[in-house]
Amino acid sequence: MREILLVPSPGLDLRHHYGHHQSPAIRAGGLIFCSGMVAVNPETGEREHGTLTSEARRIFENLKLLLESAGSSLDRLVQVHAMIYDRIEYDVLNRLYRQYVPNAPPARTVMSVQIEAGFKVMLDVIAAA
Amino acid sequence: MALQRDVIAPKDPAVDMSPNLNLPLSPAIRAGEFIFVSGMVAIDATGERMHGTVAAETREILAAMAQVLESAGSSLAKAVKVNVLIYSMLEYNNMNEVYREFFPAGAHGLRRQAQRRQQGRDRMRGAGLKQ
Repeated sequence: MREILLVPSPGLDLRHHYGHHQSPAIRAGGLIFCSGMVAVNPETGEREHGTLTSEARRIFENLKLLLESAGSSLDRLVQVHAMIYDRIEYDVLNRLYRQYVPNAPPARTVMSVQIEAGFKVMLDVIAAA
Repeated sequence: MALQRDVIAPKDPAVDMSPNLNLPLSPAIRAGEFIFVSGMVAIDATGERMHGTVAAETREILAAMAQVLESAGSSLAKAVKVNVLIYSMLEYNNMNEVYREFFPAGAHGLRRQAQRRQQGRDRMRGAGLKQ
């Protein structure tokens, strides 16, 4: 069973704003697979470039909206691939990250890569539905 | 109806990077039939980072990954997908030689490899099947 999730807020669907050929999230086998999330305004879809902290905060807030609309939540995250633009920001990411997944955090891999459109962070996550 | 989600506690606490390196992650999470393992780098029996050659780091990582999966009732033989991140593709064969020891022909899962700048030389992430 494969189902495309509807976004709770129009800005979260990058297809409409940026023409990305992707679904925001797919539900399959009791899991929710989200597309890589970057910092965009959930209402307008506008890119919100900022510090790694501000971008990561925006991503977690958007993720919260998306997962909760699908009956899941940040507590139900199973795996996170966190991509950051420079590994020097690793501890900065960790500080913000702890605020959003304080207990029983998901399995995680962090890598430093160049991210589309000059963003500083992107999160690619899988959650339990 | 909702899928059950459990944190996997490794039998040998030394393979758990989160307390030793103070990281906000669980070594592995079971969700339904799958086990999702965090990215692993080479750490020694005391939990300290163990920098070495690609072969040495790969061996350390896969031995620890086997322990994590076994703590969850799975094993490397049930791995369904492994992402390997390596600091230079020149070391591809050095990683592969050790990798083959742990995943004998025919038994290995899918593997994707990407060249990445990394904190460690090698970082592996695995997803194993529970049963």
